[in-house]
Amino acid sequence: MAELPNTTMANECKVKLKSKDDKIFEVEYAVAMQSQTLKNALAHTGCTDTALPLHDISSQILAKVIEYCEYHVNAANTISEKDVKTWDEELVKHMDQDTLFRLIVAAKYLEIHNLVDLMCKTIADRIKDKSVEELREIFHVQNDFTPEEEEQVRRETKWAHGE
Amino acid sequence: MGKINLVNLPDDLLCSQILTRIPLKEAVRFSAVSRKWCKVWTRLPHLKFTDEFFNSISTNANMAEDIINKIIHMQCVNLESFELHNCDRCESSIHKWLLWISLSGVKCLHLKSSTIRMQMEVSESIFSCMTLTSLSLEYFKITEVPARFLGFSQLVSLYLDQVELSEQAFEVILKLCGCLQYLTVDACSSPSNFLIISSTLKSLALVRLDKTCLVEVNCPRLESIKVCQILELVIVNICLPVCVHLEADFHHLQHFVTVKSLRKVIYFEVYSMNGESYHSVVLLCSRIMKGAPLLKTVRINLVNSIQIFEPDEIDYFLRTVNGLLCLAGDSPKVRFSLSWGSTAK
Repeated sequence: MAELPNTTMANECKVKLKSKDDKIFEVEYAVAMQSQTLKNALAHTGCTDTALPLHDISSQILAKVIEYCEYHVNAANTISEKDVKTWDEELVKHMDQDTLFRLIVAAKYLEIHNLVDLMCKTIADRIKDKSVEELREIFHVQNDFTPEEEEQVRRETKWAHGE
Repeated sequence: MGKINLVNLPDDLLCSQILTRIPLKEAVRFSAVSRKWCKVWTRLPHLKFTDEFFNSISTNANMAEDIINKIIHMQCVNLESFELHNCDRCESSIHKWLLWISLSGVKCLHLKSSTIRMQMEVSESIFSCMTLTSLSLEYFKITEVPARFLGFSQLVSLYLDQVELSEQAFEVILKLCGCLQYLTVDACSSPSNFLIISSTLKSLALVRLDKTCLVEVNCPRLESIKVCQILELVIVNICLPVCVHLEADFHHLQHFVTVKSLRKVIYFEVYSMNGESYHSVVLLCSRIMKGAPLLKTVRINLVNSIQIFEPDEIDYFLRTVNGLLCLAGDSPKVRFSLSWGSTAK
């Protein structure tokens, strides 16, 4: 088993990541460490020139993940919490559903906890205060209940639907 | 090939991290959106029956209790956290609910009663929740701890707000919580003697106690201590070898200003009570800065303690600020901040 990089090596170590569509991204060690998954992987391999394959993450999404991690590593001691929060909000403000979904799945796989948190909060904000019909529109789902099934579900949770 | 979208969200993300951020009523409504989610309301590991929940149900008092009953019993996942406000309105059911969730392995428990003046006795069933890592109680009374109580062996954080508990109860609970790290006692009318012995405690806060308190602290790992808005404080024995964060009322500070206590302090905040001489505030700060070589931040919190009406008082205030600015100038590595104002409505 390879050794853990020591501090000096850690400062110089660059981590290579390969997206689903075979694009290589190079990031600083500290940036990669934002991901618990990568942290564990690198603990096994040490600092290596081989790119770590991320089979389920497209280059477009990986670029966004890296953008997030790089900003947060740099912001750690220099930028105020309020400004970081504003940056986060800007990042997700006009994000389409497709990207939101792929990003949250990638963040979960890479175990980047604050990014998962941010994504969940964003989705929660979008679904808050919405009626059942509005929710169906947001999630692009049809009403796939039979009339009897729908009646039963609504009866079971009657108190939640009334006003 | 359609676009994949949020409908394919993994269940655990949906239930434990997204639906927990919207009101419970809306989370339950989700089940009517699509077949895929029709049972999602039975897989909520975080249950929050807050004031908002109670307000969103019709005014029929029993209805809320019935609904909570149903939701708790229909859960088919292990409960991670459980929050219940208005406990006094559910007095008849709370015992069985607590027993039920204790079997579910609940980790975080937050109970709040709505009556302020007459505190409700906490349900005995709470002592059966052996898996708790975090416990928060507001407006309760704990008269005694049942003899069968073996302790909350995994409790890391204990938060008591306006809880009246006997000294015996406090001592027993503390003794039997072998890995407690965070303890907050806020506006609790009792106890007044605090014997806090813990080899694991990292953070202690004793605040808003408007009586005379006798405190003995024997916690070698204590990193953060906050002792504020306490009327009268007698400290019998305090030793803070690894304290990095210190917040205290101005007139209790002499207990802390010893060489050993300040050795590792990085953050220091002082609360100035009414009628203090601003000159002495500056003097004390200067002493502390000399004794704390690792100090990075000093905060003077004068909120609610200055009434600037007279020219004399304004003058005193300005001199204090000036004195602090000079201190700040002499210690460029230390960040100073001064806050004042009133929280009166």
